[in-house]
Amino acid sequence: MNFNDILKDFETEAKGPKLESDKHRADDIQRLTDTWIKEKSVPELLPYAGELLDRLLVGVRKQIEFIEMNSIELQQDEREIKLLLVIVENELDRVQFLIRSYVRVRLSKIDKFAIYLRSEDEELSKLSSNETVYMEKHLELLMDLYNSQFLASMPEGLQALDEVAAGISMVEKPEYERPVFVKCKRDNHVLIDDDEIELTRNGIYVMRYSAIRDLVSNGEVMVL
Amino acid sequence: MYGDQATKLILESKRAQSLDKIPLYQHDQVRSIVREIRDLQREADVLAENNLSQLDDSAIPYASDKVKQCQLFVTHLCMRRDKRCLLAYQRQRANQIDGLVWSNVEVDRESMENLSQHEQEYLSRYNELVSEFKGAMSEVDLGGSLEPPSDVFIDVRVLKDAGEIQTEYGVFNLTKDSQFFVRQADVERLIQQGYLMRL
Amino acid sequence: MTELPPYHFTTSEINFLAEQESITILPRYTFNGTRLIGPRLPNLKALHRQQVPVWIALILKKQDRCNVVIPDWLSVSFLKQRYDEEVNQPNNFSELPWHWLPIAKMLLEKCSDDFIDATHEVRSTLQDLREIRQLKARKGIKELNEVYLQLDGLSLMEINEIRPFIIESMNQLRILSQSVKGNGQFTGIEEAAEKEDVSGLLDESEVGDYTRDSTRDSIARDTATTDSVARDSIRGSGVRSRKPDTSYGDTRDENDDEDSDVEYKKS
Repeated sequence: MNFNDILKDFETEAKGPKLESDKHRADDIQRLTDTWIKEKSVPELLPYAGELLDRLLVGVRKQIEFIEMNSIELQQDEREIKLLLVIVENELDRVQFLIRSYVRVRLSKIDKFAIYLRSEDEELSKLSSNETVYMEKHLELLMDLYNSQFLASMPEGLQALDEVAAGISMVEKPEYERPVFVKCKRDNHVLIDDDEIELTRNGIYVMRYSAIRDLVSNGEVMVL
Repeated sequence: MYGDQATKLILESKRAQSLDKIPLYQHDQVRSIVREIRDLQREADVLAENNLSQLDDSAIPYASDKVKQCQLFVTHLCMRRDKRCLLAYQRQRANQIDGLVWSNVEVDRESMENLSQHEQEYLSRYNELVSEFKGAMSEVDLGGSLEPPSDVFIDVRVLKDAGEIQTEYGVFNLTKDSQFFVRQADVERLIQQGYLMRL
Repeated sequence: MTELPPYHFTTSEINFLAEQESITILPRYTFNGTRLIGPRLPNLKALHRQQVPVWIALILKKQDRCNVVIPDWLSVSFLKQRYDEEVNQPNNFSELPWHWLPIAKMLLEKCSDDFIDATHEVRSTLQDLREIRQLKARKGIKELNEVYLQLDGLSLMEINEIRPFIIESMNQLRILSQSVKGNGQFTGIEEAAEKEDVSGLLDESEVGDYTRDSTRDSIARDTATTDSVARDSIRGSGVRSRKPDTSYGDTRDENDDEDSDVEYKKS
């Protein structure tokens, strides 16, 4: 089997009967990019983009196989094939970077807000099953550490880790009031401190996340 | 004074944030803060007891009651403050340990010796947890660089003979002055060692 | 994991995003495309224009497989026109592509032979445009308040450069103004103090449920005097940040709005 055969196989497979999903797939990298930007920019944890990631991971796997199949028998003079592989590998690296960064940003939020996240069903539903397992186990490890290090030798009344005594809570929550940059896809309005503020299409604004949280989640404004 | 040890511990944490190594675990300070908390608890118990008995004695609170109540309040404040400092100290160290685990580097003996025994245990268990998590998404090296990829392939010139190297893209015979177009990740080490030069 | 993400992007991340944009190339040779995870790379025919992502264009260019068609906006005349607009409309930013800065930089570095205009002229016009816009953005910062800020027309790289400062300042202003409005609630001030330094972080005024109610009440009464003193002094400084219109009066009145380049509205 030479390179062209493999390539042909690859093409027929790609052309297959699922044109619809093909078109779908074409936008997936853009979707991943948007999802990554959003997760990086807002203070809270957003729902896990599971379906999108699953589709992309299938694509990643296929490309890895493609590179493995073709690169081994590659000769120095096959510049053309090599160039294609260079492009394939570059794209692979780019997609892998986006996925990695997305997953890691989420993990740092999960670590930070763990006690809060697990106290609310709505928050908990934003995690993938892997993330939930990670969060629970990591908390357990931390509890064990605190306990064996000092907590267990303290008076019983002081051993809780989710105290909310008047004034200060030990439970860290996302800073919903933190300002974010947004761009509006269409005219809109928001309420801040009882003032109604007009948002114009294509306008770029900085305002507290809590004020535009709903518009972000239904996609009417883009976080930048 | 109450709280002094805790403040020292927090300052130590603050300092550690800017270090690239995790400093030695402060066993003695942690222990003395725990002891301080226990002392405070005993005091609080005594104060609360007194308050209770005086309330029984008379319905009208005396000025001295207020002083005692204030004492009790401050005692409790001190305890909570101590506790928060201990937690902050330990959490900061745990974060640094997590960073070590994710960075994928072999932890050298010196760094290991700076950790308490419980921390060493935490490190190895967290390491396991992270491997498990990574394993569930094997298509992407989740521990890899968080910098966007750039120049995945580069042109290099061979500065000194380095023999043959085997890469996914075949075998390269690195003889002096030859030039190659290679994956940067494959030759990073050779560049560092001075065998290759990036063009 | 260690730190929470910084809520902003590094320069290399913005460059990465810019590389996802499309650009037109003129292939020098014909060759087959390939399937990718994203949209497939179509077959390229010599001298037939084709749109591809910037990162692919740059790889092909490096291999001498194509010429890049320099976008219209990257010409001296276009950029000069935008510069004039910046001068004539001090309250607005002129319209430029979302990624104009990084794309201009990449093309100048890697495709300088594809430019029709002299590249040193393109460079210097770009530099002028960049500077006048930076100046505007900086002037706009004096309009900062705790409610919102409007910055239409800025590109992503430009936003990213001022982002940390704007977000941190607005956040602090909001915390201060809340502590004023909160009328006796110290939460805002504590929040602000927490950010200041370590000692602030540990300054707790918590009254736990470990004392009897009577105890708590009497202590609350005892400390009431000191509380109100502290509150007043903080209220004094809080007002200034909450109503920029009045306190910045010396530097800014109604007519002065002409000067401000970032659109700013507050009802």
